[in-house]
Amino acid sequence: MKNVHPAIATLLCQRWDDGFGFLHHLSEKLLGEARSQTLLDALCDRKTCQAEIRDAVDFLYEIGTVEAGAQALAWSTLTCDPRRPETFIRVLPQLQHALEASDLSADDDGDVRARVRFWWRCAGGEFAKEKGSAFSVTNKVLFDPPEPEPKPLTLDEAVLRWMSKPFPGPTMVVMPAAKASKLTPYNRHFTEIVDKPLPLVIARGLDEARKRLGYEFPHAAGAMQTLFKELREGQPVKLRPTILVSPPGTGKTRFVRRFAEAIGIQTVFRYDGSAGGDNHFAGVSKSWSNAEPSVPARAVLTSRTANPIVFIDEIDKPAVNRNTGSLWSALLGFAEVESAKRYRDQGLDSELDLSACNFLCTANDVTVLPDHLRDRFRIIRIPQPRLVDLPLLAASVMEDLGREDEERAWDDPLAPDELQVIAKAWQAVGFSLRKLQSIVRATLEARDQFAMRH
Amino acid sequence: MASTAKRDLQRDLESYACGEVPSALELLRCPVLERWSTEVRSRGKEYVLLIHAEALRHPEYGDGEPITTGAVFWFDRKDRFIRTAQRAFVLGKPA
Repeated sequence: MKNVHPAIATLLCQRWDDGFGFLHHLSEKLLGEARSQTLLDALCDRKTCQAEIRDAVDFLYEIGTVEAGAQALAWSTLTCDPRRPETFIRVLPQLQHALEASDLSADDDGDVRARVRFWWRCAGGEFAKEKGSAFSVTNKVLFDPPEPEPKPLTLDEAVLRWMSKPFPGPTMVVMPAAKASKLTPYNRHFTEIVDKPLPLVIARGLDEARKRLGYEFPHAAGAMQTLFKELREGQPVKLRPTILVSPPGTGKTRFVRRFAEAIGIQTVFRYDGSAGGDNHFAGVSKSWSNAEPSVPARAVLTSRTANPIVFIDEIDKPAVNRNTGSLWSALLGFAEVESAKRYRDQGLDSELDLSACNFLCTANDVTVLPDHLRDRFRIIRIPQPRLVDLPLLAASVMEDLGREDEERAWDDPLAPDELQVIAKAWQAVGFSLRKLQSIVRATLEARDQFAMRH
Repeated sequence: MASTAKRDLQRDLESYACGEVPSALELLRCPVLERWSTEVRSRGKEYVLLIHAEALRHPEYGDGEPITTGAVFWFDRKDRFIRTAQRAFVLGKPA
């Protein structure tokens, strides 16, 4: 670094003190003994020291030589203070010019340029709140190792952070504050969604979903077509309240789950109809100590979306008791958009807009359902699987078994002769998917038993 | 012409670096920047200093017209004058 402009050499110092020491040593001859001593004495007081440095700069410029002028510029770098951006303005243009005129090695050139660029940013006032001299701030920001990676968030923290940001897609406020009453300690967790625009889940990849589900449920093609007809690619998922009807063992429950996954809905809130003995579906009134909001409201809170799927399994099998109410009557408030839009939840004692919630139900027999329910729900029949569906269904059963048991994941696909045996057995027991599952499992076990051992 | 301007700039910067300042006569001829303020602007990876001001005695602008100078090559430590690639300016009162 010989013959480098003193201002550039000063710039490379780690601290202001180092720069001062370097320049004091360099300029001792030109400044003279008395002035050098005054500079040293002034070090203890910041203001006096700055005034002395400015005097020294004037003095050096007055000498009028190239060497003195260069030292004067070097001294003026010590007057720069990040908290006063204007102090950089009077130094940087000439410093930049000195840098352009210097012949530095590639390494030094990169380093000095990075520092000068940083000083320009200080001149723009970007670091006006930093404490410390221009030199220490430069080193701190440019060369200190970055802070260690923050700890990964827990699920709750991640959800909270995500909820605090506005959602970029379509949203809907389910629980407007203006129509909400004070929450009790039992349902305080609902404060999270009060007045919060909740995202509406968008239907994505419908073509792909239709194709995949077609392979998995070849017998339910008609039902699928009806459901998919209502969905639009890139639009929020909204389905009319629907009951899927079919004889036992046709894979309705699994169909609902896979359908939701395929169209992009993460949360399917399952409510077991056969266990519903009262109107608990609509919540427990706030006037009771153990108040509880309705199932759809809980589905919204769990999913943090405005259009979850509320899935009522076995809607035809709840206990019906006039004294305690029933699932069937509890459902009425939700099944029509008009009433769901202004649903007063008795557990929260607040008006909720549940018009975007989707209700999918399954049943074996819809004749037992009351008229008012059959009226409000669309009924889609899923036919029983046929023998022609066997190859595709058996393959999806194999896939399921592989998911349950890792060892099964590597099994060979069913051979034609195995399929023939399965077909015979399946035909004999009636075409139930549950039966097919046990037949396939038995076939695979038999195959293991008779496999060639080496 | 361009090379003359470049040579003039080089010569001026060398003389300023040695501590000289434009003579009183020269300063009388320079345009004046009144109510000036500074701006640091990024240009690619680098930065330049520009001055926004109202010009007086400028050969290309009317008096009082707001102008923005080109990149400043020298800014006097006592706010007396600046030098851009084209010419020197006398600094009047800041905004």
